Amino acid sequence: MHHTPADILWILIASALVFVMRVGFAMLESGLVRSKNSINVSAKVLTDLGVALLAFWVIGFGLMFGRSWQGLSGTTDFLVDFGSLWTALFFLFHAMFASTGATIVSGAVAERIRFSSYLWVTLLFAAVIYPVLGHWVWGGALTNTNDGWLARLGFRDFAGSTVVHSTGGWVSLAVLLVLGPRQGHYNQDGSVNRVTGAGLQTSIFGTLLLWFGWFGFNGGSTLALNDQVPAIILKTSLSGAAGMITALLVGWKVRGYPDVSVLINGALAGLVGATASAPWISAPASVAVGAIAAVVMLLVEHLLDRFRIDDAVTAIPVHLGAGIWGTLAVGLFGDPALLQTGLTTPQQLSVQALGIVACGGWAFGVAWLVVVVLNRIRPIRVAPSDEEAGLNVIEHKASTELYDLFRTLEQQSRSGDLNLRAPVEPFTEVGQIASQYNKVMDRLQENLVAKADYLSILNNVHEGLFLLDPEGRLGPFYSAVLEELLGVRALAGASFQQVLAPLVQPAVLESWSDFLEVLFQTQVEEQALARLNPLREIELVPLASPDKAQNRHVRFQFRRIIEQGQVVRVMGIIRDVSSEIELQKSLNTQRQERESEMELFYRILHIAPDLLAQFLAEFDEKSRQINLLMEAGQHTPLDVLKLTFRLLHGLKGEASLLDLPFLVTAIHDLETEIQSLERKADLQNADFLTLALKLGRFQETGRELNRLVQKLRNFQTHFVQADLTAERGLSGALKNLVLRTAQQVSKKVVLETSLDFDKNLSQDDLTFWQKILAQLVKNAVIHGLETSQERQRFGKPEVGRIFVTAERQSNRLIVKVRDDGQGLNLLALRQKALEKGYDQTTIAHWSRSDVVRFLFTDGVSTAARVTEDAGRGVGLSFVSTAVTERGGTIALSFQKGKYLEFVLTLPDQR
Amino acid sequence: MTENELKFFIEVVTDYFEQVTGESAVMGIPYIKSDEPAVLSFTGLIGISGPRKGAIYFTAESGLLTTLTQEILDLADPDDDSLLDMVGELTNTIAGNVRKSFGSDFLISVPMLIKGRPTDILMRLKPPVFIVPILWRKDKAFLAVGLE
Amino acid sequence: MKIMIVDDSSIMRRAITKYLAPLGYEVVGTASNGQDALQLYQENPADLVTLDITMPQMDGLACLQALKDLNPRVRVLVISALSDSQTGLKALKLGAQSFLPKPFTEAQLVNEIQRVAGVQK
Repeated sequence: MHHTPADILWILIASALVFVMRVGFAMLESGLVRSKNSINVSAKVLTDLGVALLAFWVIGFGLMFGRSWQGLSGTTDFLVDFGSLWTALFFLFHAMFASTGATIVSGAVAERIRFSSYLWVTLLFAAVIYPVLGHWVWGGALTNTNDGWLARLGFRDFAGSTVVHSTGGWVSLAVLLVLGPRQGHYNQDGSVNRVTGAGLQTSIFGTLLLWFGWFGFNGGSTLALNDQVPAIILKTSLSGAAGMITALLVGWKVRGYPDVSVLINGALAGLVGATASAPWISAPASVAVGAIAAVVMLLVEHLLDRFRIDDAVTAIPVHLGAGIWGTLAVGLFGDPALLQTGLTTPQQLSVQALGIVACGGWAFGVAWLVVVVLNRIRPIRVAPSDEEAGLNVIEHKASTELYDLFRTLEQQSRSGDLNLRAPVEPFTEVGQIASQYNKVMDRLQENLVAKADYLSILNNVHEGLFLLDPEGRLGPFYSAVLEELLGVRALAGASFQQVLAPLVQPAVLESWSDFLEVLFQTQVEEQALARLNPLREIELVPLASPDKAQNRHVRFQFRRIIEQGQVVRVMGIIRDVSSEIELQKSLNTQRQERESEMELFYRILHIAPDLLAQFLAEFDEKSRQINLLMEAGQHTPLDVLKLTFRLLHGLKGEASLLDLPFLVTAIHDLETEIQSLERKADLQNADFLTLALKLGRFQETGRELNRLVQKLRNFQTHFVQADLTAERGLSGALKNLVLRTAQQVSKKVVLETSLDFDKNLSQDDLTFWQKILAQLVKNAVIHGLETSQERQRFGKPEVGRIFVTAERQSNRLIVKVRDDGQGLNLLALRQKALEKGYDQTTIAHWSRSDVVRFLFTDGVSTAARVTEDAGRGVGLSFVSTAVTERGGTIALSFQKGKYLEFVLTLPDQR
Repeated sequence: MTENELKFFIEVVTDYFEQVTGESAVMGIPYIKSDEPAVLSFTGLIGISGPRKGAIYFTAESGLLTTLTQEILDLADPDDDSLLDMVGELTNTIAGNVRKSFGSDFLISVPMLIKGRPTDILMRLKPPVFIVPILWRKDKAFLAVGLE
Repeated sequence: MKIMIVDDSSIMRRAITKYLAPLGYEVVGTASNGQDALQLYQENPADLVTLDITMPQMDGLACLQALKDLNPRVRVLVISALSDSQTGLKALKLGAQSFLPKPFTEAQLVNEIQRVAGVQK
């Protein structure tokens, strides 16, 4: 057989083109699988080239093209020597075919097969399955003899629809049956979860390359550059085009959109379909072959999914389905003249079918047996977790940025650790995604941390904090204490009014809705709101537990949150002030008790006198009104309480204005008492006792205030007088004495003195007269003079008068002490004498002077009470004794109801 | 003045009615009197001295006292002296109880019985003077308490 | 700034007048009930009215409404001894700027007047 240089060159080029198909396969498959497996798939395509080449050289080539034994297998030419040009050329071309067939498997079983297992399958394919089967069809091609038993029967497969493509498909099927579908590929109901390929555009480029490679695959199968080559290439392409368009249209119709993978597989199915028959069919037939191949491909794909056979790259529908059809098409469309088998069309078809069955039985059977055994030795499938992680990393430690990103995300989703960040490869898209993702995570973490802080505050504050919207609903977040304070759980979104309803008085609840309305009105002063807050200080009475001990005094505050001049939310703050209120109560009591007279003075001195006078009048009047209200009994008890409250509250306002806090506190206390009475369900008269007592005490305070003012007024008057008439010496001392004594016994007294001798007295004399006169004057104030009321009753001037005069008469000093009081009560004195143990008959015989003499004895006093100033009963006896010692006498004159006068006559010692 | 003391005085009076007539008297709303005294026709007054000063009095119209006297003494038409005695009896009971319960804090004078309206009765009582209306059947009496 | 004081207590009227004197406000008049207040306002309109609630012959709420009808922009500070918040809230709903409860002190009054007058925020 002669081979022209053009033939040689064409076969070399065709071999190169078939080699390029490997690039096509690598691109096609890696684009269809997920990126986590893309490297693994490509690696398999590369590796099986090496494995297939070596295996084919060592054993495959011999089995396929060696000397035939019974047309079943070659027996020579192992480790073939490339001594002749033709042998080398032939080997080169067919080695490319063998490895291409092996590569078909790599895509089908992608994403789950263990890499090492795949290499075994490749070895089996290239060394045994493919060469034996190839011998049956193409045996003797090297020597241009028809050795194979199928070929001898007239079976024709021009470039390998069965030998290469179907075989690859059968082996794939066998492996897939053992391997099983990818995780999660089929749902319970049989529907398919299509994977997102690493890059369909790569698959498209791969398809174009495959098509290009097919020029060599089919075109080179003539093993000569003859006049058939262009037609073969063209008919192959026509078939591919028809397949592609048919699949596109059918797929579009079925799926509703032009699916890219259908487009790819349609083209490939058309190309595979034409591979068996290209030289022997007409151009129109090639279009039909391609079109039908595409339909077959779609049907097979559908069937596979029905049986849950998960072919990752649709290799079986394309290579096995279209391969079988292409093989049958030889019989159907092949020109018998060109086939030169001498068979009729039905005969040819039968032989073709026989070949398909025989090849299928062999390829599938051997592959299945071996793979089952392999799987027994070691599972050919990777572990589920590895499958999930992807074979790039598991098998090859070949990471992609996308994979790393994925890993981070996965880890994050599993651990919830927000501190993890995706690795950022600069200048790549995934890097940018990762960097954006990290930013999102930063923000998220920030927000989460801020929120966590916020929530931790809410969980730990002692106050109940919450937000209200204009409808009065609680916000989603509030402090934990709130639930405890209100005794209500799950408050988010609840209407605050409804939450309050069981806890407060109906009147308060009613006020709340008014208050809520005003809260959201911007023009109202916030302070006014604080004052009118119906919940400002309130006792929460949970209806569920009427136990008084459960009640809490709480204080509510509301703060408006204003954005752009609008109140958008109101923040509520609630505090338990039960203990605070207890403390306040006891403090108030203490303060009231401690309020000293000095402090009252101080307060009074700071009030404008006219206001104070008016206030005191008001105080008296209101007190009188209150007393009358309660006395009159014209009103119901409840009305009495209301009116009393009103009157008191007015007073409180004024007292506060005048800065009289003790009165404010006292009134407040009264108000509280009244309110508690008002709330009583069954009001008894006895319940008024406490109120009456408190009112009494309060009115006493008012009287006390009046007294103090009176004192101040007296003080002022006397102070001015004292200042004007500032007398020193004896007169001054006596006046002070009278002033003091009169005040103590509440009498009004004026002392008039005419003591012109006192400036010349010796110290000794002065002391003497001071003692004497002090006694007499005190006696006059206490015993002699009546109270102003008594004096008025007797028609005397209100103010009592005491005259002290001293005059010198020759060698005598005459001192007189006279008061215009009641005179002497002789009857009382006689009674006193009786008590003192004097005999009744003796006393009965006493004359006026006897009685007077008794007056000057020890221990006589007619005063009812013993006070510091008089009534000790020693005063007059002392006077008498002292005067007598100095050689003097005492005379006494009186008229009942008019006057009493002591006249002391002493020798003038000067 | 404490609430308990006031309550005690009221109870003594209302219990008295309960014991001698079987029909309890009821207290009205207590009030404070600062000007003219709430004094009715017959009055019994107990002065109190010692650490606590002031006075307590019970005062009633002849109607109430007549009914009371009729019930207790079985007298058809008691004269004024009997009525005064009746007030004295009631006042003594109060005094006795007070002495028994409060002891040395209250130095109690001999009850003073008054007919008619004395003007200076308020002077004996220390303000504030609490007036407690006592309602018995259809009649009204007053218990007045003015203690420091 | 012209001020009118409406209160039935003469102590209150005098005290408020006295406390406001140092602030330089002109007190254009005082009234002891709502009717007098309205008449006074029509004769000599004030910018700011302090208004008591409980008064004989036309109470503060009615007076407030009438004042707002006459001039919606008049500033009203309700000063009332009524401690129940219901009335105060009613006053605010009727358009009062603020509410000062009796009892109050001089400092509180001054502060409140200044707020309502807009001197202080």
